[in-house]
Amino acid sequence: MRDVVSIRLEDIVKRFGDVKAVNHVALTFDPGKLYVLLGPSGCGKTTTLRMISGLEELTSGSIYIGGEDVTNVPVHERDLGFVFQQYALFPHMSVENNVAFGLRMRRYPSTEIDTRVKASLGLVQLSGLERRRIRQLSGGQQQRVALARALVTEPRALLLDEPLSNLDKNLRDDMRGQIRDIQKRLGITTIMVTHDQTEALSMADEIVVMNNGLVEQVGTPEDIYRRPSSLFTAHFVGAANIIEGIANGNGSMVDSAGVNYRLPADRKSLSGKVAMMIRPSDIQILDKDLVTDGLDGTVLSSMYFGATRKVIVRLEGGRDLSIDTNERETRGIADGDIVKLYYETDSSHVIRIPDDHG
Amino acid sequence: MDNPIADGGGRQLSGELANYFRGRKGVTITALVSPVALLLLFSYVVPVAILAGVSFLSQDARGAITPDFTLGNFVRFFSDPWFLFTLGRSIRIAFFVTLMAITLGYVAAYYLVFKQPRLFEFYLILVVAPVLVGNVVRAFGWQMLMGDSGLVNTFLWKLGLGEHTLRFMYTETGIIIADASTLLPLVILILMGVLTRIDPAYIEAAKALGASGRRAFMNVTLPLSLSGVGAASVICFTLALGTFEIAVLIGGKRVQMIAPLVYEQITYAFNWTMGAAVAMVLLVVSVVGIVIHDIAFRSKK
Repeated sequence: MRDVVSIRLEDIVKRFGDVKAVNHVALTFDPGKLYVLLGPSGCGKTTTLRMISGLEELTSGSIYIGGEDVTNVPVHERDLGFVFQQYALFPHMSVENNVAFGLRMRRYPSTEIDTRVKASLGLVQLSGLERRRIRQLSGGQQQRVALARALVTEPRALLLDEPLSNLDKNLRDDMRGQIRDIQKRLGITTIMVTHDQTEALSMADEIVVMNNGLVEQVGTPEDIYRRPSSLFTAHFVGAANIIEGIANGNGSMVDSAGVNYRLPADRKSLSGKVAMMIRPSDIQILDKDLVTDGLDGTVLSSMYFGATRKVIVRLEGGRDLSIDTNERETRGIADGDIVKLYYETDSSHVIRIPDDHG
Repeated sequence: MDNPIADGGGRQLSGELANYFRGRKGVTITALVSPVALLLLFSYVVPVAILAGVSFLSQDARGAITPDFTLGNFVRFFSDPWFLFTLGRSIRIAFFVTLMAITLGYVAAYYLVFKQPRLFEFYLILVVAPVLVGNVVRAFGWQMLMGDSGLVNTFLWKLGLGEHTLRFMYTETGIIIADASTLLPLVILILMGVLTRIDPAYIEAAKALGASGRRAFMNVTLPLSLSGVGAASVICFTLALGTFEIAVLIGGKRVQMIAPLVYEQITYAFNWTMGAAVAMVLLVVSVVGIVIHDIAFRSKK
């Protein structure tokens, strides 16, 4: 295996006509980690990935791979593995020849091509399908051929563009684990693009949240989920109850209905416009007779998901909170029930809202 | 996408449409296809059938067709060196016309599809415009340009390079160039269709795997377009084999081709049965071309 490399983006911009698809993005991808570029469609994540691969030219900025400036290096000399969203497996070639393609382009001797193709197909558990035609394969098998084809040349880094979006749900969950497993085993620097937050949270070492061509936040899955730096991230990654209010500098905030909320320990000194985020899974629903503490509310509706139940509770003052509970804890709950809501203050998170006018 | 209501709604709607057509499918298709079928029947199938029949008959001394079955016309065709030579020449010319039109057409189509030039629409008009003129006018155009006293030769003569330097009129080369130029618009349009259907992601994938532009073309674009090139070649070859106006106007009497031969047999020699037989040979050669293409590309799958 080749050296594990870092990838650095220096102030990269991509303009399509008047639209800045990627707007001054600077990022460093550390060696051997799996990064996920996460964001809604049109946020610039795929364009960023394509610029790293060399498939898209930069409007301005530079890209470094392993310290080498590759901004003007053409795609076929960048030595990266790329997995396309629709796999782009060559329909006129067998599985074997698809995987061997990169090795042939690098003029490897045929005996080594054979060994490597075998090893690579073994890695993705497709041994025995060498002579199959591409259209004879299932979606999941095609996915794995694409992965084997991208990895067989031992590229410096692996780039994946929405690799799982064309698979049905069960297979997707399975492939998530397989890709992550292979990535860890090879220790290859990997950048994956997805719009699926579950995929990002479950696979990434670090997530890069993008929106409107800009990087919103970079952090571990837990950082992103627990401590989003913007309302966008809070909404985009996981479900969130957002309560906007004014913090008064002495450890609490007041919302528009005049209800007081305590701020978590690390944000006690905040003052000004803020938004408090409480994850639906952090709120407990308690029997009103058992506790005196907590927020009073009425059950508005509930939805059953098997292992969990989603409950909407209307607080006194009219605010609706969404709560994910273990189905066992809320068995027998009915619309109209009077309940107490409880959450730990430190499980909430407060985001400062920039003042637009000033 | 995960919304079950929207999903179910869509399926229901398409289901209704499917039911609508399932009941009426036969009727609808018959109604849609019958005008074309009728037209083809009376303008193509019937005349060809008559021609095929006539080619096995003979004519009496007064030229009237007699209902006696004979292979005489075909025997004469295949034992007459002039007929055979003309057939051979027509096949040779059609082959080179195809080679030229496909090569030039591929380059043009590739440029238009993959390089997406800024003046795309303008170029497309340039490609299609010659079709509006008609082959006769185009042949006269070539004559004026390339004739012995045409523009080019006059210019060369003025330059002091001698008289009639370029021999174009009444040569096979002249026919090939002129005929290829008349078929080029069609070939370009067919090949553009072929190349447009190739997903650019295949080419990107090849490059991402280390293929230079040239090798990506040789290993991916070209093989993926080959069956389309084959189809375009068959159409081109068949049309070139039946070339008439260009053959008459550029080739004249000196370079005889097979389609004018049919015309002459019937119109000048009043030899209907022989003309029909030559036409049948022409038809069979075209069909053989199609069959060869079919076998060549079926074995690939």
